[in-house]
Amino acid sequence: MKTAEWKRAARPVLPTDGNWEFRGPLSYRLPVHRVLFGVLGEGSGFDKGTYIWRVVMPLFVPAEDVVLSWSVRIGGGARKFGNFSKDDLAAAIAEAAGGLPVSDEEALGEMVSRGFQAGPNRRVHEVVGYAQVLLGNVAAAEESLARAKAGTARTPWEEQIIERAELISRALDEGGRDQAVGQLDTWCSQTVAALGLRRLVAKVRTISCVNFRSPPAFPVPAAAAARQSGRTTRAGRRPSPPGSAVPSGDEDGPNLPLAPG
Amino acid sequence: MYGTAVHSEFAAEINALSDSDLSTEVSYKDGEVVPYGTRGSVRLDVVEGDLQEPQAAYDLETGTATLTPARIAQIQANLPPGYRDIPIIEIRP
Repeated sequence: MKTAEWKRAARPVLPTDGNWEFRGPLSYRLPVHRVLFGVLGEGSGFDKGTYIWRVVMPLFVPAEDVVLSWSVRIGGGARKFGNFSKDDLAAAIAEAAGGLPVSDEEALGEMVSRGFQAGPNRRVHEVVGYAQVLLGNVAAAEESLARAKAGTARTPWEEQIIERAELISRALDEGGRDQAVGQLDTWCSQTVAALGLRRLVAKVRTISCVNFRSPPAFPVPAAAAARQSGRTTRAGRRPSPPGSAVPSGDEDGPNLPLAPG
Repeated sequence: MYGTAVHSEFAAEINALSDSDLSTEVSYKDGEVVPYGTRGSVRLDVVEGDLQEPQAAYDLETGTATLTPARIAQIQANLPPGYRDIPIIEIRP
């Protein structure tokens, strides 16, 4: 699914009580802290159907790609949407967004509970260990990190998991939880940058303009009216000076009425 | 394309089974599940079990294509740690 198609499908059905940002086929909720929450449309190689993912991605493990290991497909692992009806696609996107955890803490708690019975996947134990650190459960974190480090690495990326887990274990031993959290936050920032994500909601700029829509008390010549309104009499608009907080007409400020010419 | 049509029909049949233990078109990279098209990832036609703890993988082959040792090695290198030795099964229509 192309980005424009995804935006057209997702934008109308995402909850209006949140701020959403788009990045390719991913819509994610702002602000972004330590866990990414979103909805992703994953195309099929076989037809025009789309898998809809409820995205929950721990950002405190360094990553250069969107990772879906902690996410779920809506409708089950084999269910695609949009092949025959756009309505089912919209419903799936709404369902995915509506079921997202409301906070990092809730998501971290779910990771810990999912990882509780996890098998030998050291990636799971790494995430669970860091989640325990962030939740303040240091003893449980050390147990999970010991599992993440256990055994022999068979690939370079497994060696990196072990190195990271050792670094966090050392931080807990030597500098305490704060030092470990500081390292995890550094990795969060790296992942956010690598994925090109925004973290915060854009500030809405407000300008103070009292009675800007009130008509003048007396008829005034067009040139004078233009001076009062701060605009030229031509259709073109006067640009804001560099560094000025006053928006030009091209920005999102109120559209000041021009005097009749 | 015959191969694509076969894969599409196969995916539809898997979906019709409504078996929550089966997932179609799952991509892995370095032991993580990633979106389709992620550079360096491998795409599996069907995965059985939890995606972080897969129990088997199925590759649908059509025509003269076969599941080669190189392809198996590529799949294994990207499966989650601890699950590299799961059965990787070639299936044919």
